[in-house]
Amino acid sequence: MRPLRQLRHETNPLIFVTLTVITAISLIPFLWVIANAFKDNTEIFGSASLLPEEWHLRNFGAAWMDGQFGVYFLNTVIVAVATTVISVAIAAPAGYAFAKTQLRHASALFYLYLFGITLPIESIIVPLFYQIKDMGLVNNLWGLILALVGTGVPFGVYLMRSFFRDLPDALAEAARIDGATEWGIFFRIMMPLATPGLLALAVFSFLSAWNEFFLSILLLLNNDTRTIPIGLVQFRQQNMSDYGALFAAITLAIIPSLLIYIVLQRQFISGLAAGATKG
Amino acid sequence: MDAPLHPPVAFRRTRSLGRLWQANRVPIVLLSPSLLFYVVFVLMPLGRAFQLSLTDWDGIAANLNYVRAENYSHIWTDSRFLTSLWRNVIWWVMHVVLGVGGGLLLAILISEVGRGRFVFRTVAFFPHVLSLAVVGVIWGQLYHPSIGLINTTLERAGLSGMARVWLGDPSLALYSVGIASGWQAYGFYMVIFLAGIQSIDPQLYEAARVDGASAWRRIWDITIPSLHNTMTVVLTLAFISAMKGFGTVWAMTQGGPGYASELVAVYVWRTAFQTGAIGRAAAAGLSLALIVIAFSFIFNRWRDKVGQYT
Repeated sequence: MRPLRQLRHETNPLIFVTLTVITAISLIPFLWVIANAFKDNTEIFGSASLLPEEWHLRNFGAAWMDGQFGVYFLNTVIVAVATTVISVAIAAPAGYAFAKTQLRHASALFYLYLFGITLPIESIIVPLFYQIKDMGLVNNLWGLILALVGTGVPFGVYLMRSFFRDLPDALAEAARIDGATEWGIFFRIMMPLATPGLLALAVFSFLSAWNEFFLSILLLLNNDTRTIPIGLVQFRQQNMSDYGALFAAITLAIIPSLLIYIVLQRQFISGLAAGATKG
Repeated sequence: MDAPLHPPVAFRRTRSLGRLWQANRVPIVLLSPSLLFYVVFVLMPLGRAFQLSLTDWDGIAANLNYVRAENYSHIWTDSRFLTSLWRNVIWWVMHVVLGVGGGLLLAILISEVGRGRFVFRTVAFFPHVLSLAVVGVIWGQLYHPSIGLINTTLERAGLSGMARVWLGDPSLALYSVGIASGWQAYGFYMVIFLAGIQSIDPQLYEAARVDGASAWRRIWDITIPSLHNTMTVVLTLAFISAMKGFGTVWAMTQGGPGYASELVAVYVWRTAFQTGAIGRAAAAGLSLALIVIAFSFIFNRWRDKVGQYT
């Protein structure tokens, strides 16, 4: 998403002002939360200024001790990384099979996957919960990971198929003539060429797993298995009146996302845009 | 004894399966893992949802008691369910106005601005990177009746008469949550619209510049009409995401006060896991699925048809 367009004209000041206002609307809630995290409760109630008059760190200590944010963070990393790795590992070969091999009845099977993209997971949440319960995976990070991989399959395969379909056949043909096996062509030639697509799917899977809320509230009931979103909501229920600690907890929940976003923001934006428009 | 001319049926079937395997070994191996996950975590639950929707199971009983279509006839005459469906429509409209409208406005303005694009885009997109739960908790605090930024700002501006219990007032709760959801969404739609603007033929703008067209004319006559296709994609995305609305509501009001902000997904959740009416919840979930799938299908057909002529 590099240069939009080379426009050689003065920017209308009204445009600039409107943009600044909208950007402020995006930004102010975060600044307010973070500033309040450094205030004590009397100042949160009484003071009119955005910045704290005195900077307190007590709230962060309270949030860290009460909330086990270290555990939540670790759980979230496990869920996000495992979901991403497994999703890409199973969706890439399947997308390749649909795009570049001659499988009989492939189109019927592909329609079955397409159906899964439109099916809202909300409609199967009840039996899905009992199924994972029957597998003994409630309160186990793997229950969530497997469910996220499974429900993510249709979109992942669809996305990978569109990326593989755009790759030229010539290289594979040349390798076939040189005596490469079908597996060699897939692993050594097609997979490396599909790297941008793999990255787009990885970004998408990572972010959805990191932020997952709908299944997690059902599956992660115990404090040791909670992820950041569930942990934060739980923390609020238990600390309704300690406002400072809650603001610190929100800040702790935002920090990892913010850091990842700063490092990978280009990949995030282009990966999610590709996911949305190809999907 | 003579050998039979035709092998027995079962043998013939394994032969042809064997042949299918021989001819398609590579794609079958490549596809199997994804198919396994898909069957176990989507198709089997879907089948079981249909089965459960025909029973009055409470989540505990050892045997399933079949009640035919009773759950379906119940929910489709139940004003609580029908109202929750209507709230999804309101939710969609809010999503389109705030999320899609805001995203379109931002994308157009950003494409017109010479400097600072990167900053505007990065900041506006950030809320989309956060969990619905985190955004819900943040906005729960912004709406807080006594310490929330919204009420304290109104009071300081001398407008304390406008301060409200934003999430506790049944006539406001749905809209308050909808605003939070729209705030999170506009950065996402902005990125899609920006990609759409990027693919507009630069010569159009060049010609407009030669003609001395103003920024407004350029936006109105070139940018907006050219985004027609992007718009249809975005409206479908917005519909599907609005029908599935759950996280923001759950993190802010859990559907309350009463049923005031209950969307269909929240209805399914509460009916299943709080009331224990599993069969009814399954029927409601499948009804939601039917609506979303039918809409996506019709919309795609319509888009293909329109696409042929544009």
